[in-house]
Amino acid sequence: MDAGHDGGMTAQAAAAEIDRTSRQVRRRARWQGWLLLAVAVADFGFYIAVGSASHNVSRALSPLPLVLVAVIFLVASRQPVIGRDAGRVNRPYIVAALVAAVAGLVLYQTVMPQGFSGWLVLLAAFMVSPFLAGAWRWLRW
Amino acid sequence: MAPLVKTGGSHPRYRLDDMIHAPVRLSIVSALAAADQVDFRFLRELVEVSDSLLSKHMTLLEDAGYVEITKGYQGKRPRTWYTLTDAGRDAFAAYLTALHEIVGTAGDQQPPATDGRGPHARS
Repeated sequence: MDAGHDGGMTAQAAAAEIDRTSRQVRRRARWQGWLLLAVAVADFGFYIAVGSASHNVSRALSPLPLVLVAVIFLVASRQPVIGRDAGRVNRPYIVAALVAAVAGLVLYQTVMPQGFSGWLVLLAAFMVSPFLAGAWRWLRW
Repeated sequence: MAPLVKTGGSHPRYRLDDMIHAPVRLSIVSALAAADQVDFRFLRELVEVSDSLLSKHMTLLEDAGYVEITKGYQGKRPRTWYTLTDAGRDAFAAYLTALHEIVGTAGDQQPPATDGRGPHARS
């Protein structure tokens, strides 16, 4: 396709160009999936570390989620493509992640054995599952 | 196949929007239709045009009410974002419908390349 000439084109050429551009844009919008995956991994490590560490270490680690949020905003602001309906798509996963975090915290404080255990791993996996679901949504797009 | 020429009539080609049915603008609009926002640099590389030509087409699309332009800064670096308006999305949907009819009436001779979502692929 000539860069500067806007002459006529066939329907097949138009359909092929639409296919090419939309595929490339969707590929570039997948950064949201990779970001959510990174958040899930970082959060999982954070929950395990905080759940297994002593009280003082847990307190020292507590500002990490704020750092993570800052990193997310920094990464997001540098991306060239914001995927279609990103806000609407991400909202349920973020709300679910917040609900899971609060529920997980309550479970840990009330019925869970303190310190590292298989239950802690399961609980951490449950708490990050909304991020994993969001990552899957974007990466399969 | 000869280029699509519009002279008036009932054939679906007469419904192809001139503002979209031009190679550079078609690439731009189809890229914007697949996203909420796309920045200038990415679009320029995707469409493979110069800064000035891209700006010219973006101004035309903005004047037609199809594109919204947002200018800002990332640190000290200026950035320009493009968004397809509701009118632009409606026009592109109508364009895709007409294009689909044309490709359909062309039979199975040369099906368009797709990634499994077809030319109507939109998120």
